[in-house]
Amino acid sequence: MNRRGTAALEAVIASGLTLMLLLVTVSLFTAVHVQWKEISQAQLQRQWAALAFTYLDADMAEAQAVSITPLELRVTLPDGQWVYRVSAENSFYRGRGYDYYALAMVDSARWWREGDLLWVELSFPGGKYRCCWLAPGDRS
Amino acid sequence: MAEGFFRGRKGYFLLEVTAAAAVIALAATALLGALLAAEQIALTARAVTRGRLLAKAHLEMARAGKAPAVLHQDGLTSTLTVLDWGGSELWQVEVEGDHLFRNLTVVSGP
Repeated sequence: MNRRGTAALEAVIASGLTLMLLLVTVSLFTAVHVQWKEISQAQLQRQWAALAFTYLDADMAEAQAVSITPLELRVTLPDGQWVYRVSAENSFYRGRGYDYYALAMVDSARWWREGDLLWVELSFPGGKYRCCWLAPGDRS
Repeated sequence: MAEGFFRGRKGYFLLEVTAAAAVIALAATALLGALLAAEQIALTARAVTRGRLLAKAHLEMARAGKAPAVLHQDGLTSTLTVLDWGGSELWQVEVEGDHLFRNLTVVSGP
Protein backbone atom coordinates (compact mmCIF):
# COMPACT_ATOMS: atom_id res chain seq x y z
CA MET A 1 0.00 0.00 0.00
CA ASN A 2 1.40 3.44 -0.88
CA ARG A 3 1.48 6.54 1.34
CA ARG A 4 -1.85 7.93 0.12
CA GLY A 5 -3.53 4.60 0.66
CA THR A 6 -2.20 4.40 4.22
CA ALA A 7 -3.34 7.96 4.99
CA ALA A 8 -6.81 7.24 3.59
CA LEU A 9 -7.08 4.02 5.60
CA GLU A 10 -6.04 5.80 8.79
CA ALA A 11 -8.55 8.58 8.12
CA VAL A 12 -11.31 6.00 7.66
CA ILE A 13 -10.29 4.21 10.87
CA ALA A 14 -10.14 7.48 12.81
CA SER A 15 -13.54 8.57 11.50
CA GLY A 16 -15.03 5.19 12.33
CA LEU A 17 -13.66 5.29 15.84
CA THR A 18 -14.86 8.86 16.37
CA LEU A 19 -18.31 7.91 15.13
CA MET A 20 -18.37 4.85 17.38
CA LEU A 21 -17.28 6.91 20.37
CA LEU A 22 -19.92 9.52 19.58
CA LEU A 23 -22.66 6.88 19.22
CA VAL A 24 -21.77 5.16 22.47
CA THR A 25 -21.52 8.48 24.31
CA VAL A 26 -24.87 9.68 22.96
CA SER A 27 -26.55 6.37 23.89
CA LEU A 28 -25.03 6.56 27.35
CA PHE A 29 -26.15 10.14 27.88
CA THR A 30 -29.63 9.31 26.59
CA ALA A 31 -29.93 6.35 28.97
CA VAL A 32 -28.63 8.48 31.85
CA HIS A 33 -30.97 11.34 30.94
CA VAL A 34 -34.03 9.06 30.92
CA GLN A 35 -33.06 7.47 34.22
CA TRP A 36 -32.18 10.86 35.71
CA LYS A 37 -35.56 12.23 34.69
CA GLU A 38 -37.31 9.33 36.39
CA ILE A 39 -35.28 9.86 39.57
CA SER A 40 -36.00 13.62 39.50
CA GLN A 41 -39.72 13.01 39.05
CA ALA A 42 -39.78 10.59 41.97
CA GLN A 43 -37.88 13.13 44.09
CA LEU A 44 -40.29 15.89 43.12
CA GLN A 45 -43.28 13.72 44.02
CA ARG A 46 -41.66 12.86 47.34
CA GLN A 47 -41.15 16.57 48.10
CA TRP A 48 -44.74 17.36 47.14
CA ALA A 49 -45.98 14.56 49.39
CA ALA A 50 -43.81 15.77 52.28
CA LEU A 51 -45.15 19.31 51.84
CA ALA A 52 -48.78 18.19 51.64
CA PHE A 53 -48.45 16.01 54.74
CA THR A 54 -46.70 18.82 56.61
CA TYR A 55 -49.71 21.11 55.97
CA LEU A 56 -52.15 18.32 56.87
CA ASP A 57 -50.17 17.57 60.03
CA ALA A 58 -50.19 21.21 61.13
CA ASP A 59 -53.93 21.54 60.42
CA MET A 60 -54.82 18.27 62.17
CA ALA A 61 -52.87 19.31 65.26
CA GLU A 62 -55.20 22.29 65.72
CA ALA A 63 -58.36 20.84 64.18
CA GLN A 64 -61.59 21.33 66.09
CA ALA A 65 -63.54 19.17 63.65
CA VAL A 66 -62.81 17.24 60.49
CA SER A 67 -65.38 16.16 57.96
CA ILE A 68 -64.90 14.20 54.78
CA THR A 69 -66.80 13.55 51.58
CA PRO A 70 -65.47 11.63 48.58
CA LEU A 71 -64.55 14.98 47.01
CA GLU A 72 -63.14 16.99 49.89
CA LEU A 73 -61.57 16.96 53.29
CA ARG A 74 -62.77 19.84 55.45
CA VAL A 75 -60.78 20.88 58.53
CA THR A 76 -62.20 23.36 61.04
CA LEU A 77 -59.49 25.41 62.71
CA PRO A 78 -59.84 28.23 65.25
CA ASP A 79 -59.42 30.76 62.40
CA GLY A 80 -61.92 29.11 60.03
CA GLN A 81 -62.36 26.19 57.70
CA TRP A 82 -59.79 24.88 55.25
CA VAL A 83 -60.68 22.50 52.48
CA TYR A 84 -58.41 19.95 50.80
CA ARG A 85 -59.47 18.93 47.31
CA VAL A 86 -58.15 17.65 44.01
CA SER A 87 -58.80 19.99 41.11
CA ALA A 88 -59.78 18.94 37.60
CA GLU A 89 -56.10 19.35 36.68
CA ASN A 90 -55.13 16.81 39.39
CA SER A 91 -53.71 19.47 41.68
CA PHE A 92 -54.11 18.57 45.34
CA TYR A 93 -54.69 21.88 47.05
CA ARG A 94 -55.58 23.51 50.34
CA GLY A 95 -58.08 26.29 49.96
CA ARG A 96 -60.30 28.75 51.81
CA GLY A 97 -62.44 31.29 50.00
CA TYR A 98 -60.15 32.87 47.45
CA ASP A 99 -56.99 31.49 49.08
CA TYR A 100 -55.56 28.58 47.19
CA TYR A 101 -52.35 26.69 47.96
CA ALA A 102 -51.39 24.05 45.44
CA LEU A 103 -49.54 21.30 47.29
CA ALA A 104 -48.96 18.48 44.81
CA MET A 105 -49.74 17.19 41.36
CA VAL A 106 -51.28 13.81 42.10
CA ASP A 107 -52.76 10.85 40.27
CA SER A 108 -55.39 10.69 42.97
CA ALA A 109 -55.99 11.55 46.61
CA ARG A 110 -58.29 9.69 48.93
CA TRP A 111 -59.27 9.88 52.55
CA TRP A 112 -61.24 7.56 54.76
CA ARG A 113 -61.99 6.92 58.40
CA GLU A 114 -61.12 3.84 60.43
CA GLY A 115 -62.73 4.48 63.79
CA ASP A 116 -61.22 7.65 65.20
CA LEU A 117 -58.40 7.60 62.69
CA LEU A 118 -58.49 9.61 59.50
CA TRP A 119 -56.30 8.21 56.74
CA VAL A 120 -55.07 10.31 53.83
CA GLU A 121 -53.35 8.74 50.83
CA LEU A 122 -51.75 10.57 47.93
CA SER A 123 -51.01 8.56 44.80
CA PHE A 124 -48.31 9.60 42.36
CA PRO A 125 -47.07 7.85 39.23
CA GLY A 126 -44.00 6.80 41.24
CA GLY A 127 -45.84 5.46 44.28
CA LYS A 128 -48.15 6.20 47.18
CA TYR A 129 -47.70 8.08 50.42
CA ARG A 130 -50.13 7.76 53.32
CA CYS A 131 -50.49 8.79 56.91
CA CYS A 132 -53.22 8.93 59.54
CA TRP A 133 -54.30 11.19 62.36
CA LEU A 134 -56.51 10.88 65.37
CA ALA A 135 -59.09 13.29 64.01
CA PRO A 136 -61.86 14.83 66.05
CA GLY A 137 -65.53 14.96 65.25
CA ASP A 138 -67.98 15.03 62.44
CA ARG A 139 -68.00 11.58 60.84
CA SER A 140 -69.50 12.50 57.49
CA MET B 1 10.58 -4.74 18.99
CA ALA B 2 8.07 -2.34 20.53
CA GLU B 3 9.12 0.34 18.09
CA GLY B 4 8.46 -2.06 15.28
CA PHE B 5 5.07 -2.93 16.70
CA PHE B 6 3.86 0.67 16.95
CA ARG B 7 5.22 1.53 13.54
CA GLY B 8 3.16 -1.24 11.95
CA ARG B 9 -0.34 -0.43 10.74
CA LYS B 10 -1.83 -3.20 12.82
CA GLY B 11 -0.18 -1.71 15.89
CA TYR B 12 -1.68 1.74 15.28
CA PHE B 13 -5.10 0.27 14.66
CA LEU B 14 -4.94 -1.80 17.84
CA LEU B 15 -3.74 1.20 19.84
CA GLU B 16 -6.55 3.42 18.56
CA VAL B 17 -9.21 0.80 19.25
CA THR B 18 -7.83 0.25 22.75
CA ALA B 19 -7.75 4.01 23.44
CA ALA B 20 -11.34 4.45 22.21
CA ALA B 21 -12.53 1.47 24.24
CA ALA B 22 -10.77 2.83 27.32
CA VAL B 23 -12.41 6.27 26.92
CA ILE B 24 -15.83 4.66 26.44
CA ALA B 25 -15.33 2.38 29.44
CA LEU B 26 -14.21 5.34 31.59
CA ALA B 27 -17.19 7.48 30.54
CA ALA B 28 -19.60 4.59 31.08
CA THR B 29 -18.16 3.82 34.51
CA ALA B 30 -18.34 7.46 35.60
CA LEU B 31 -21.92 7.87 34.38
CA LEU B 32 -23.03 4.57 35.86
CA GLY B 33 -21.45 5.51 39.19
CA ALA B 34 -23.18 8.89 39.23
CA LEU B 35 -26.49 7.30 38.28
CA LEU B 36 -26.28 4.59 40.92
CA ALA B 37 -25.37 7.16 43.58
CA ALA B 38 -28.30 9.39 42.56
CA GLU B 39 -30.67 6.42 42.58
CA GLN B 40 -29.47 5.32 46.00
CA ILE B 41 -29.92 8.86 47.37
CA ALA B 42 -33.45 9.00 45.91
CA LEU B 43 -34.38 5.60 47.35
CA THR B 44 -33.05 6.55 50.77
CA ALA B 45 -34.83 9.91 50.70
CA ARG B 46 -38.09 8.19 49.78
CA ALA B 47 -37.61 5.58 52.51
CA VAL B 48 -36.98 8.36 55.06
CA THR B 49 -40.12 10.26 54.01
CA ARG B 50 -42.23 7.10 54.05
CA GLY B 51 -40.62 6.04 57.32
CA ARG B 52 -41.49 9.37 58.96
CA LEU B 53 -45.09 9.06 57.76
CA LEU B 54 -45.26 5.46 58.99
CA ALA B 55 -43.88 6.45 62.40
CA LYS B 56 -46.38 9.30 62.62
CA ALA B 57 -49.26 6.99 61.66
CA HIS B 58 -48.13 4.38 64.19
CA LEU B 59 -48.00 7.00 66.98
CA GLU B 60 -51.46 8.27 66.02
CA MET B 61 -52.74 4.69 66.19
CA ALA B 62 -51.22 4.42 69.67
CA ARG B 63 -53.03 7.63 70.65
CA ALA B 64 -56.26 6.08 69.35
CA GLY B 65 -55.55 2.97 71.45
CA LYS B 66 -55.45 0.60 68.49
CA ALA B 67 -51.83 0.31 67.53
CA PRO B 68 -50.37 -3.09 66.67
CA ALA B 69 -46.92 -3.74 68.13
CA VAL B 70 -45.48 -4.09 64.64
CA LEU B 71 -46.71 -2.32 61.52
CA HIS B 72 -45.60 -3.10 57.96
CA GLN B 73 -45.95 -0.73 55.01
CA ASP B 74 -44.09 -0.24 51.71
CA GLY B 75 -41.18 -2.47 52.73
CA LEU B 76 -40.77 -0.69 56.06
CA THR B 77 -41.38 -2.12 59.50
CA SER B 78 -42.37 0.01 62.46
CA THR B 79 -42.06 -1.33 65.99
CA LEU B 80 -43.87 0.28 68.90
CA THR B 81 -42.42 0.17 72.41
CA VAL B 82 -43.97 1.62 75.55
CA LEU B 83 -41.41 3.44 77.70
CA ASP B 84 -41.67 4.35 81.35
CA TRP B 85 -40.39 7.93 81.78
CA GLY B 86 -40.40 8.82 85.48
CA GLY B 87 -43.82 7.34 86.07
CA SER B 88 -45.39 8.61 82.87
CA GLU B 89 -45.86 6.54 79.74
CA LEU B 90 -44.13 7.35 76.46
CA TRP B 91 -44.37 5.63 73.08
CA GLN B 92 -41.32 4.94 71.03
CA VAL B 93 -41.60 3.96 67.40
CA GLU B 94 -38.62 2.56 65.54
CA VAL B 95 -38.77 2.19 61.76
CA GLU B 96 -36.42 -0.02 59.80
CA GLY B 97 -36.31 -0.95 56.12
CA ASP B 98 -34.20 -1.88 53.13
CA HIS B 99 -33.08 1.58 52.08
CA LEU B 100 -32.73 3.06 55.54
CA PHE B 101 -29.10 3.03 56.60
CA ARG B 102 -30.07 3.79 60.19
CA ASN B 103 -33.32 3.11 61.99
CA LEU B 104 -35.65 6.07 62.46
CA THR B 105 -36.73 6.55 66.06
CA VAL B 106 -39.56 8.81 67.19
CA VAL B 107 -40.76 9.23 70.75
CA SER B 108 -44.10 10.77 71.69
CA GLY B 109 -46.48 10.94 74.58
CA PRO B 110 -50.22 10.38 74.94
